[in-house]
Amino acid sequence: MKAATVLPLSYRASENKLTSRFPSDQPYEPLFDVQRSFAQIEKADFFETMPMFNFFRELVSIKQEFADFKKTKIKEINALKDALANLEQLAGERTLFTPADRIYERFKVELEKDHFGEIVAIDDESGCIVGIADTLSDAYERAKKATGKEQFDFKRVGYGYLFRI
Amino acid sequence: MVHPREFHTCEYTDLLKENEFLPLVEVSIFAGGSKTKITALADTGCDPDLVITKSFLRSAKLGLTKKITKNPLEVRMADGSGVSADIYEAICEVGAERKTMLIYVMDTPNTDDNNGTQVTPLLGREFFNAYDVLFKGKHRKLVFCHPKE
Repeated sequence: MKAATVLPLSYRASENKLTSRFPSDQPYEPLFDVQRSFAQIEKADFFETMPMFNFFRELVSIKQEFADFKKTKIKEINALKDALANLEQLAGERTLFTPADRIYERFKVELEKDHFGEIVAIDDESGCIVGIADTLSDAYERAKKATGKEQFDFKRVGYGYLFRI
Repeated sequence: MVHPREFHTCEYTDLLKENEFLPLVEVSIFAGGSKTKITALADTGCDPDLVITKSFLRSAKLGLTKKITKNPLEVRMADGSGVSADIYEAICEVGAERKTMLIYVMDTPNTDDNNGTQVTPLLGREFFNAYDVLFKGKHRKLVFCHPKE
């Protein structure tokens, strides 16, 4: 077993203590015990550092597992997002509400009670329903006559769409 | 036998020469100061008067100007999907009989522009109701009549 050859510069082996470089010149405990062999030190270090090493190894494996988990979850989330987009498209749902939608929602209950399946013309500037009829052309004519305007929003009462093709 | 109120007949067309006869109707559209003749397929499963696509509107240069809708409306397709459409008012002529019709212009970019295919204009039930059309399937013809007063 070899003793330590590299020593701190301020170490004096003969005195087995460190000389202080500070003005107080007070001796203090050695940082490195030359009496202990490297084998002893390595053995002690090994048993001291083993739990720490195991902990870090476990940490790395957990990190890897988490990365894999994250990847699979991101894939699942993207698949769900695609499915939701397809469903929204199929259901014909619109995410943005127009002023006409809000006006229709305000009168929805009364309209569905008395005019289910009919077409309503909505003037979003006045916030009113300005024409109700069985056909779109009749509803348009009535709305035009009532307001003098030429453009309106239309809705079929009780349905999420105006017409089928 | 001739229907008493009949003013125009339209024979089914074997477009692809495959013995498949289709009820195609020639309709003249007056819009933007010009007259354009288009061929449309009579489709009883379609609610509106006349349905065309945006790409057809561009290629046929119909010049529709009188838009009656402020925002695009939702129209449900046969497969359950929804498409947005604008509605224009124009005068249509069949067999020298003119009527004001609503033309639905569908915005279907996936169907038209990407594939480069042209969707045939469709004549719907509102059109048949306005012109009082009879389907004579056995004789492969459509009969346009004056509505009963």
